[in-house]
Amino acid sequence: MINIFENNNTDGNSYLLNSIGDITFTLSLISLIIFVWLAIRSKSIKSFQFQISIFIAVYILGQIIENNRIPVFSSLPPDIGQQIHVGSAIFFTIMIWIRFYNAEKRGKKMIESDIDDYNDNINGNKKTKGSNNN
Amino acid sequence: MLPSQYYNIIDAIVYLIAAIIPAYFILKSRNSINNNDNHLRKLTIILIGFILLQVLYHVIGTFGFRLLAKGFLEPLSMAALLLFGIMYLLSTLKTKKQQQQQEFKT
Repeated sequence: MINIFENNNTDGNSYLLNSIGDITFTLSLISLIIFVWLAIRSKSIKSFQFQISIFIAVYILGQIIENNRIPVFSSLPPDIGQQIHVGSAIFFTIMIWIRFYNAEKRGKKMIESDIDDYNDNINGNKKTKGSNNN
Repeated sequence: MLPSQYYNIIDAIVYLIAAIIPAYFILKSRNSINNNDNHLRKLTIILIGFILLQVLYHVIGTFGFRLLAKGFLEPLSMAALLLFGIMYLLSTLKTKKQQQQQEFKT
């Protein structure tokens, strides 16, 4: 039976970790595809979707290098994968904090969505209808 | 202490700093009854779930429980991120549909 709390790396564990690593890679790749598609739809590099796509892309790059599955990356220093992970985490945190700062400063929402555009359009239509009636 | 443990500690601290903002928004929108805010709140809860799972993954990784960290918490955090993406996508598609219906009516 596998003990998930054990901290020694046996061959069986490393095989299991490689298999789970593939699952993690697939999950992050699907997330990346979704956010890239949303970023293309939003047509703006300032959008939340675009920025989170960059974060996921850097995270995946770190994961590929860390898992050492591609021979091209085997010549790189061993810590580079983890350094890239730290870089993606710092990028994510800076992104969240800058968005918060801008949202507070301009009174906007942190995550812009089509919902806001839709509501703005409806309110705009109501206002114009109201002004036409007057 | 191994260099990988240092990286795990830095990662955990950085993600913890990131978690402050969504946590603040969840607390701020606690009393809101607006439907749109409620949806945004659900998205924020999933985002904070992803961030906190990353924190936990790196903390557990620091203590050397590699199988628990890499084998369970990392895929779980990625599943949370995927859920966030799916929810975001669904809300976008739903809004587009509503917009088209509104245009059709007018």
